[in-house]
Amino acid sequence: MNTMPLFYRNFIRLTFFVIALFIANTQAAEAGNRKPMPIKGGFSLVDETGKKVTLKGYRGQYLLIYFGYTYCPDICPTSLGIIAQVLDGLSKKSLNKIIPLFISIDPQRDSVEYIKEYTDMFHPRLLGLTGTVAEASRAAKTFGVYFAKAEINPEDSTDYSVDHSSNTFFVDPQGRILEVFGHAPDIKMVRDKIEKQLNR
Amino acid sequence: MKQTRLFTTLAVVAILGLGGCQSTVHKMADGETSISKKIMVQKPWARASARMAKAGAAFMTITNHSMDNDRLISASSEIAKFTELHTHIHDNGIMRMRKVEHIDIPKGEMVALKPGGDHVMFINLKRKLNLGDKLPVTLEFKNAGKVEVEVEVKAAGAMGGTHKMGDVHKMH
Repeated sequence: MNTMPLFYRNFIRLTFFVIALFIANTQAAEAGNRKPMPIKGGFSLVDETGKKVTLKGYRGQYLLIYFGYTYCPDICPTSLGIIAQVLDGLSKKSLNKIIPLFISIDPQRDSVEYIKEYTDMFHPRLLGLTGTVAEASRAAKTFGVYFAKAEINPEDSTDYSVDHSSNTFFVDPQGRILEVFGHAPDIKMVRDKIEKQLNR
Repeated sequence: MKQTRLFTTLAVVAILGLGGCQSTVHKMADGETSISKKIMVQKPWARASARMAKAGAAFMTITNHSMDNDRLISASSEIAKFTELHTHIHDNGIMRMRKVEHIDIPKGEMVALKPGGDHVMFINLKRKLNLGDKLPVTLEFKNAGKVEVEVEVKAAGAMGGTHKMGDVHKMH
């Protein structure tokens, strides 16, 4: 009979499980060749110049897509600041192959004019897209992006913040997702991955 | 997927009980801005805003040199209709910004108000925040009382100290 108290046996089991999980994880990370993920759905929005654009219309180009809103005080500026630094570090050849997009998940407040001014503050190549609520919702759904109004000011219903996913999507010319970067990724890591892909 | 890996890593950390996440650092930085006898506020900064922006955030590091725990209980400024204390809850990839009643500043520690975490929030900005502006902000601490600081406006994509190039990223 094993006289070890149940707690310790369970603890040892758990420790082994955690170590195994960790090793498996590290290997998966090192392998690094994820399969491109086909995108189900699409979007139909207007860009910051007022032109109608669709996801399909961007076929043939690499895309770097971030969903956010221009009233966003911190999370979006952090993400867009990182994207700007990624773009600044790319070779000119690579920069011309990629279109960075900022898609509004708050189209009620993000007008075409405003989204242009906002995206230009971060990088001249960054293109803002907005649309109707239904169009923006479809775009977010296509990429599995969550968003919901939060902290609505009781005195002013147009004053609110928006909870949202803070991922950046790297899409290939065939319209497949190559990478999903989480919030505030390492700039060099993102730049290296993009540069490597663009110079294959 | 990166998220899955991140989640698993977080789970591992949580299981092992190593997840004592505190946004505090003990290292001192130079360029101190405002000193009360007990509280030192360093490098307060905010990001430049667009013309129609209604919200902004200020970041800084606060060091408690006293023998007692203190707490930032409010902030006020002329630049916005409301100035509040906020934090971000990172909920499985989703960012949820929420108002907080106070931010704890434990004795002998330096607490960083930084992007993605605790911050001073400006709601209903009265004007655009321009690069290079200095915004007077009054912080109120439970023990140390009121501390006046000048918040420097940096580039829209600035990161403060968290990313190397953030401070020098040029405006286009």
